[in-house]
Amino acid sequence: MKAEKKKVDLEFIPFENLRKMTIRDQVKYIIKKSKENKILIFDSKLTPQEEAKLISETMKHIDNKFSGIEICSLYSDNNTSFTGKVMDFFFKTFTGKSRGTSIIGPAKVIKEIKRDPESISILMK
Amino acid sequence: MFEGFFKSFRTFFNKLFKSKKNIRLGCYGSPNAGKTTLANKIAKDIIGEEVGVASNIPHETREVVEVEHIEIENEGRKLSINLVDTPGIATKIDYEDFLKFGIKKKDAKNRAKEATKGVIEAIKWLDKMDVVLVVIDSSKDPYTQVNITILGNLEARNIPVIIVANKIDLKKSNINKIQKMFPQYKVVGISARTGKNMDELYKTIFEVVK
Repeated sequence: MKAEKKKVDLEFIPFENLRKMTIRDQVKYIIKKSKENKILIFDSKLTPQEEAKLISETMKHIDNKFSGIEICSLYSDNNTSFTGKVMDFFFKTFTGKSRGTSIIGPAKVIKEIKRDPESISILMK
Repeated sequence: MFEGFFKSFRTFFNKLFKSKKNIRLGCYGSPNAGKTTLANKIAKDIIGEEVGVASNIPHETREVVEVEHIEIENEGRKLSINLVDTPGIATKIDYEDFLKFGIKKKDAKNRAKEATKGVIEAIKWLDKMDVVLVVIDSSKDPYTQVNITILGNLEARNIPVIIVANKIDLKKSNINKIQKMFPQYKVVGISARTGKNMDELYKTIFEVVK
């Protein structure tokens, strides 16, 4: 008997799409996509406050079918060069976001996201 | 009307004479990091009573618990603290995980439901803290999203932080890894279970509060 292959959808979300949304809408969007078993990759890093809001809202949606999410936010500014810091400053000033990457997906699909400061590995269920 | 006046007067009076050295000290971290064991250790050292029940089943603490006016002393100085033990913060809660600990399905579902509310409460209480002990299990990988999110939120609120590297009595404990991952924070290694190095923690709390 052939084992059923599991399909995982990855969706890349450009920063421009997020900028148009309020935090509330961003969170709603992420939870909706996670419930559809999609893994989202953002080309910017959520702020700690956005992460906290996302966690709080996720908790309200947890039930027998949806057990929550896995998040991984990585900064792109691990180098502490002057140029890097200046770029971060302007990026944050004008966009309100941090340079970096965020990966968010449903906990039913992602077992764990392991990271070190410069790389990540996703363990699937 | 008189009630409102007296309430305002009392608030003003309390603010005027409130000791500056009365702080709200929160214990934050992931489930099973040892927050309640630490809160119990602090409370037992000082008032001889425990704050809550600690267990190896995740999300044992599902409500915020505050013990008021615990007085700690260090080198002749006194500090009055309101000790706050918070539920572990998590991004996922699956009732099926509780079944592995022998909890019945119905109880596991209830526990999961309560745990989700606990996480929301813990996040809400962040704004009320004066100093926070971020408790990390030093025998596990410290570089988790929950730890990063907690620290980021405290930094954004300008709340002083002490990272408590708990469980140093375990063989796998690695404080250096925590210090390397979070170099900008003061890290104190302790064992809340055995009481090892608690004096160092009390000393650090005074340093941070001064």
